[in-house]
Amino acid sequence: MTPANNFIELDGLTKNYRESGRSVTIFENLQLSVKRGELLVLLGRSGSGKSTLLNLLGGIDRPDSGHIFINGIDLTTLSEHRRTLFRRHHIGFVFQSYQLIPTLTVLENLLLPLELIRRIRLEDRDKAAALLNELELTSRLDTYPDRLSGGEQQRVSIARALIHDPLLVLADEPTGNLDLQTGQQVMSLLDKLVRQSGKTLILATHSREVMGIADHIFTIRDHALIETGD
Amino acid sequence: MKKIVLFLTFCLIGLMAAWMHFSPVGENQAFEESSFSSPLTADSEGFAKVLEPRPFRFPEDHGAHNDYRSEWWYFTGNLGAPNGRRFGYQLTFFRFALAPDVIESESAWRGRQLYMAHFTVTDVEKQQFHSTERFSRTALNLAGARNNRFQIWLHDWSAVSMNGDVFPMRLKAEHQDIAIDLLLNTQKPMVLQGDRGFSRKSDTLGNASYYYSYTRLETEGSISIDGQDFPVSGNSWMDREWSTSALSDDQAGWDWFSLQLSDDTELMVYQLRLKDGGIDPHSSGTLVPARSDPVALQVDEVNIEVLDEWTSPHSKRTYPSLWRLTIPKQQLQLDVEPLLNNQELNLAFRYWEGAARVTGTHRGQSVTGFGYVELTGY
Amino acid sequence: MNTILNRAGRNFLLRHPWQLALALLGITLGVAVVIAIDLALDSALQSFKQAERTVSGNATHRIIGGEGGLNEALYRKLRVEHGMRNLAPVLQTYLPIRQNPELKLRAIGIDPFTENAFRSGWQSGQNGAQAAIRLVTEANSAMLGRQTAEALGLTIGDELIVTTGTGDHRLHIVDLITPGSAAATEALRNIVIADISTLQEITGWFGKLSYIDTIIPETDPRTTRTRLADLLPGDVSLISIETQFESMQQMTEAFSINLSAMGLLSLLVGMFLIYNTMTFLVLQRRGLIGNLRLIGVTRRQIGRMIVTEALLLAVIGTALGTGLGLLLGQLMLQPISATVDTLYFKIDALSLSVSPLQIGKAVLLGIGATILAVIPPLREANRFSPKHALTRSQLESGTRRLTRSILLLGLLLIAVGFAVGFMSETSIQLGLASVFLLLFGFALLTPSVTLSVMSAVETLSGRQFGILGKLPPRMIGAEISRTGVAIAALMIAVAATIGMNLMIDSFRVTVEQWLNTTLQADIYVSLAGDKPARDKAAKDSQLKAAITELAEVEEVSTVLHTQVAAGGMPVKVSAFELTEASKNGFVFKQAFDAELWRAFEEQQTVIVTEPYAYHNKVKAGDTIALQTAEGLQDFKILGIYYDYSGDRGRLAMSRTQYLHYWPDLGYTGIGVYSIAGSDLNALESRLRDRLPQGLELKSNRAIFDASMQVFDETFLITETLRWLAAGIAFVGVFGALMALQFERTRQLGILRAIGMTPGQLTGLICTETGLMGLTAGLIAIPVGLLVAYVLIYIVYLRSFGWTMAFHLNSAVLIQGLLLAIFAALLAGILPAYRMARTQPADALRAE
Repeated sequence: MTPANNFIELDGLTKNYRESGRSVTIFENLQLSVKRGELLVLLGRSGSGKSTLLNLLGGIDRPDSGHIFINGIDLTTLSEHRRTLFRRHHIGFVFQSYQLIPTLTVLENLLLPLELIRRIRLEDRDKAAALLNELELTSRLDTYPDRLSGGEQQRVSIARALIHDPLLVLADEPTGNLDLQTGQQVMSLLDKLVRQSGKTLILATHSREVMGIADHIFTIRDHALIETGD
Repeated sequence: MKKIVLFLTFCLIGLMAAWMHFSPVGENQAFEESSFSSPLTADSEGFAKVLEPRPFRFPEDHGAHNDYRSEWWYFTGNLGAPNGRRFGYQLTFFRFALAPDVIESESAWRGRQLYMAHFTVTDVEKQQFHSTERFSRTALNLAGARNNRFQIWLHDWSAVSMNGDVFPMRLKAEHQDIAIDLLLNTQKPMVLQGDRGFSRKSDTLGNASYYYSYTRLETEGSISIDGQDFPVSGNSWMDREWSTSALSDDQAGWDWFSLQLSDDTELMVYQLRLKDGGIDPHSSGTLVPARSDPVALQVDEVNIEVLDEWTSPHSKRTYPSLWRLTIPKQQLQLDVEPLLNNQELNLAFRYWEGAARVTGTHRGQSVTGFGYVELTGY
Repeated sequence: MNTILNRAGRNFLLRHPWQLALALLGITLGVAVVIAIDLALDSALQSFKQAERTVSGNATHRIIGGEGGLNEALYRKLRVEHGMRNLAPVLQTYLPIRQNPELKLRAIGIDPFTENAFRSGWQSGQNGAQAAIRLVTEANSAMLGRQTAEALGLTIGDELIVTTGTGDHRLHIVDLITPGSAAATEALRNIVIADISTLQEITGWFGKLSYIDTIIPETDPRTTRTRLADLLPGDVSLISIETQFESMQQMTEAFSINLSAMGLLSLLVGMFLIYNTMTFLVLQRRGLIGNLRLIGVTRRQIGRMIVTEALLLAVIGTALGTGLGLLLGQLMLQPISATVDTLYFKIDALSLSVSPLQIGKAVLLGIGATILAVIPPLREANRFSPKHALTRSQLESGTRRLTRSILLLGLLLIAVGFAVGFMSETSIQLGLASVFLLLFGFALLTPSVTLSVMSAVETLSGRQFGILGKLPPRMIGAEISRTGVAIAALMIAVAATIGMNLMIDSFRVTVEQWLNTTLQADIYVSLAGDKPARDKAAKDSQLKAAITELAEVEEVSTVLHTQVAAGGMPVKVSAFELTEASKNGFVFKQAFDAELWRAFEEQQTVIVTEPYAYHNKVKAGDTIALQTAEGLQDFKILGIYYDYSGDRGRLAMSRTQYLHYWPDLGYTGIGVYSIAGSDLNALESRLRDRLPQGLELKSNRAIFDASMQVFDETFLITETLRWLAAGIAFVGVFGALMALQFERTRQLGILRAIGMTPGQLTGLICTETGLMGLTAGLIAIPVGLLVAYVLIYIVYLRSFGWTMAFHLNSAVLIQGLLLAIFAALLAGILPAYRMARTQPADALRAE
């Protein structure tokens, strides 16, 4: 199989955890292919390994065996440093608990990923401002995250995941901490922003609401991925 | 003469006295005589020996005989205050040569003579017995005896002739609140004990001492007890003895009596007790009649019967405490009773020496008197 | 319920072993240093006392004369003429021995036949009468403590070869002393006992005694004492041995207080550590505590849980600290007593003595400090409401408000510190209290100052480095309750270091200048008698004449350092024979003209050193009554001169005046002034040829170097302690920073997730800790200057009576700054390293 055909190609991915001296298998020999621009939903019970899979895809965790190809690059062969640089350029994260940097303002949180890539230019600021405007956060530009509501924080978080034009956005239960209405609002924003820019999105959730927007739905069960369709 | 054995033993006391200072025993705890009787016998090499009678020369012979190993000046006495209160006292100076040869040094502290003194006062009315001891080397004239006049001292305790001869003699001693200050005058001439002052103690050559006494010394002065002064008068007894040789192994101790009777007679008797319970044949005595020459007493002429005993609460030792002395040849029978039972000296060397009262008959006349008794080896 | 509650707490603790270890280390080190200093100081004094007690036994009083000792005839007079009892004559000296050239034995000449009431160590440890008799009758006979003999490899029958002014002497060991107690055994170490006669013979000190010990019973001491005192000649004093011990204790008091202050400084820094750990543990568990409160656990129970934890830490830490303190005390015993030895009095045998009191004190300190340090976090824990545990930032905004109150409190403490410092009169304790108040006050200012510094840095570095540049100062400012403490602790340690360094530096420069002035002669001949000699006066005077006759010699000055008595206590006196040149060696506090110099030579006058004037509160124009054989004599004080050779002070008088009342003991030193242009090296070697064996010859340069070496050795212990305090502070900072970094593991995880490389993260962390170090260092510089000022002008003046010139050494300031930055950077390395090795995913999962 040539990994170039697909944007994401997981090949024989195995991940174990050591827990109190014992090895616990999360997945075994996982296979998955995702095309560019697709929206993939991962279902599964708590602890089934959704987050782990997202972490592996984002290069912030390493598998025990197998390969992860993203855009033709095998993450598993990259050094920590190269992997970080890859992530810096191509991955955007949205976490369940927002994970904003509390000592930076909303704008600063947003600009940080950009700054890691290059020196901030005036147009970057404009871009950030536009993005925040789109997320209806214009008035919160210089506010620190802990002054924001959960929904607002998650919107900032989404903006942060998109600001540097990543190829892949990984969202781990983005609505998990939000009430239903806010959740839907956030989800539709995510869908809209990701889709319109043609990015690939992998979304881990246990909320069936979002399934309607998915291209593919997978469930992690018994250490394997099963496509459930809709 | 009494102290023939005591004498030898005291040589050891010198050693012991020093030893006492180093040993971790309590201040008043004495040691067993048996533990020190042997070392000295072995080591009299180099000292002058008492081998035969010799003429005495005075005042030189009142002074120290430094080449002999040990020597003493012994004063005891029974005194009374005008109100009838009775006292006894003992003031004794001992000299021990620690080495046979003179040591030359520029340091005044270097020397071979050690002095020791015992001072006791018996307070009959208060039933109290005070005793204390002192030691000193002769360095810096801290202690010593002069040969050109009668003068013997240890620190501020002293016996000193007042006129440069012998008598009158002043005895002074003070310890804490007990003090004596007495003037002594002799009533009788000096008595040379044994053979012209040569007193043999055993058959062994050199086992002897030079020994003379003043048996009746009229005494006046004061005794002070706890700050209270008592004018006193009575009679004292002085013994002088020097020697080098030691106690024999079979001797256990001795009982010694110096008695002054109301008929102006004095009696000195000692018995050397053997370890097997017998009496050493060298035990002897002297009777000093009122107006005639002293009579030497042989061991078989004197009979001493013990009538009572007393156990010291301090040392738990049992001493005889009532005697009957009979000397049939002299028509003399005396009962001797301590004025106070507890006159035990719990010093570096423990012994009993105390004032006693005498009653009895002499040549058909009843007599009374006072005296001193010394008991060792109990 | 309670057990499960405790388990919840305990499990949490066990999951943070680093924090536990650091907190324990803080308590342990703090307690250890306090104990060690206390023990070492006390043991040095106790060793001295024990040795004296062992030698003098039950003696209560001592009859002492001047340096020349007592005439032995006095002993006879007291004994024979006045019937005084319980007197123990002693002649003592120090003898170098051939077997071990490093060692000097204290030789004690005794009379074995004194009253056994003294029950001294040599009396009670001796084995047989025979030995005592041999001491008295045999020349060169001596006894040694069993331990000393074993150390020297000697036994009964062997010879100990000692050197005195009269040559080498072979002492025959006739007995070994085995005292009953271990303490006495220890005290008899390095002591050789002989008869007075033997000691007189080998030293040539015939007719002399060093002192006479006596026992004056508790009951009725007045009459005996008065009687005895009345019998003594005017230049002889009767002093109580207890008083003597007390005065020795007083002598070392300043030294002790200063060292103890170092111990307390360590503990203070240790407290920061405990505070820090407990705060960390409380903050980390705000969720847990919130939940517990929610399910009905009361505040009291939470409080009990935290206090129990703290107590547990305190008990373990104190126990460890006590053990370590004993060890450290043992290590410090040698240097501390060496200093006491150099500065104050000779300590012959040294042993660590531990009293339950000292241990108890340390335990109280350790536990007390812990409890004190746990109060703020405890209050914080109880701020958590059951409904919602406060978020970190909410806590921090509370803290920011608190910073303002703390600022005010800090300012107040500083004001009080200054007030105490200036009003401390002669109290060293108050002087040191002022230092502590100032340090603490400035520590409280630290959070506010840090916030200002951080906002400035943020502006600057934000402009330069963007958001990444803003992060470090933001992080410091955001967690000021934690970073503030760490910075304050570091600041205290660095400020104390700077202060001490500046003080020692100033002191050193002052002493250097003083030595340069005072060492006027070209060459000094030291006649100090390690080795007692006979006819020293006559020989010394011949030597002086011989030196004066040398062609290259212009003139000579002489000095005799000795002791006389004033008010029943010994006073150090220097008797000078001065030349015009040597007079320039004196620097007076007030003008001192030729007129006064004439009075110094011709009248009954003295000049006194600055410490003497300070301790005895005298000034020029006052008189000092000195005890002489002719009764009390008044000496007028002409002036006060600077002298840094001792902190108890001394008097100086002209030799003529001295010889008027006291015996000629020869010279301690002769200063040789060469004719201008003569070859000093040639002179030195010619002098060397003339000198009898064993006398020392030194150029003024050599004396200068030797004196500075003594100076440095004296401060070695101070230096060591200071580093120890700095070390603890470092551990504190280390702990605080580590806690801080571990606490924000998740935050760092996000940074990694969004693409920050491990290298960037390390840079971030190190920039943050480096900034903290920089802040601490910057604040420490002015505070250190202030501390130095207080130390120099208040504490050391109070302690020793020395005036020092403030010498500002900028290197010290830079060193301090670098130390702070370096320490902080070092503390950042481990967390940075750990973060770099952690998978971001794991970091994100962190609590």
